[in-house]
Amino acid sequence: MNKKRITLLAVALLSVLTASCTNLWHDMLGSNVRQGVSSSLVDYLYPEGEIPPTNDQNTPNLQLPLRVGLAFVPSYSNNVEGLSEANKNLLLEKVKASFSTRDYIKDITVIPDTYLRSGKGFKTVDQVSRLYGLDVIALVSYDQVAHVDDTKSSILYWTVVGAYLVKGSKNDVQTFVDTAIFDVKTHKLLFRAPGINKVEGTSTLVNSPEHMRKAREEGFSLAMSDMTTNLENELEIFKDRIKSDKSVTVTHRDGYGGGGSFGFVSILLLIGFVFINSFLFYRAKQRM
Amino acid sequence: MKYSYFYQQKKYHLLVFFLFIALMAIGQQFTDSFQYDRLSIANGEYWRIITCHFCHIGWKHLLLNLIGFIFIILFFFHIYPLVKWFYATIFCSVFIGLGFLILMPELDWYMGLSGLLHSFLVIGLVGEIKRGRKLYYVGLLVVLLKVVMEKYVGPSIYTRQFLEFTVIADAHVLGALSGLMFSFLSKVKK
Repeated sequence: MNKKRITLLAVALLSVLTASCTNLWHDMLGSNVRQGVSSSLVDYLYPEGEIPPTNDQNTPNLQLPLRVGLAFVPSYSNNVEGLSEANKNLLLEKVKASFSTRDYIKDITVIPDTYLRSGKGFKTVDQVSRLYGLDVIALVSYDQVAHVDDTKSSILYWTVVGAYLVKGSKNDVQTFVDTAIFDVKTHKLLFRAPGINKVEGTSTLVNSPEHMRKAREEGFSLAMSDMTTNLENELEIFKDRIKSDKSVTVTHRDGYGGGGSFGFVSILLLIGFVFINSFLFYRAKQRM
Repeated sequence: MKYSYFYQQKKYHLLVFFLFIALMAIGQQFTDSFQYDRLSIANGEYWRIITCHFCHIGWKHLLLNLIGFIFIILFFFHIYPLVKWFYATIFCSVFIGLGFLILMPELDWYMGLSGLLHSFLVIGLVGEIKRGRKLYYVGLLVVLLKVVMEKYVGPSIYTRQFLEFTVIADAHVLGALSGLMFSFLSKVKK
């Protein structure tokens, strides 16, 4: 009897201990929590509650071909789950590749996050634009929310082995990116294009952080692709809009060009043909 | 045996000549809308591919091209029927324009008839060769050499000083190429 009680007590104690271990693990990995990273365009351009100027009568003048800057709006949160500088660069290079072949774009410069992080507001944007000689700047802001929820099968995590084998964690990552294109001289918003994406998946408790990291990266990549498509459409709408409402003027830079002209050498050559023709004519006449 | 326009006495040739003059005079009034402008063409103004040949930077530019045009019409116009010259104008204009778009992305603007004149010149010379006048092989060779020279050395200093703008020698290369291509596709009347 006594032996039986001791066995039961040991089993109960073991259950409680393993469950506690799993719970501790669970908590450490951040299950059943909401995590997120974001950067706000408005907070960046108008810090400390600044208000955009009203009744600004300046009309943006775009001098084609344009020199475009492309940058992520810096995120000031200390969340390490955010995009790394390398990933940001990779994503922006993809966007650059989609637009750099356009005739009206001279070049697109990817601006590192750190350049914009030195300050806030249009003052910093102006400094960077002057540094790179930009006409317009495209600022990409983002918001990514990640949820990790347990499914019913997560009960098997209590067995410890289940934490390795059972896919009891449901991860979903929702990403929103928004690109706003500003005229550098007038600070006016020309147009904007959003991109959204939702990535869902399940993983084991052990693999959950890795799965989440990959889902976050995939979420950003797909949202940026969606944004690129929308940006192309918005660009076409913008081109049509400015033709009708004249809210933006477009001029061309003095580029390389010239005329096609018959030179003096060509004219001398043609005079040479007069002689050839005359020679052939008189020879034919003599034969007749 | 007849060797040039003077001996053909076809009055409609004169009509075509004046039509070209009229086209160029009109083109002169609308250079902004007619000239080759890469960005405008990219934005849908495709007519510029053809109209750019009928407007000129200034009267000196127009004058030199008119002299060339008069010579060409006198020597070679009788070789092909009128409709074939019309096709040649369209084919060679489009060829030169597309050549600019595809091969010369750095060229922002262009205007002038000389690209087309080089097409006509080559078409005329090949036409004469096809009619059995072998001496024109030399003429064709000289024209092709001149075009290559202009591309790599540039136009003569006198031309540059007279015109005071950049002469786009590539237009002449494309013109000569389009002329050769058109000639190979055409039959001449013997």
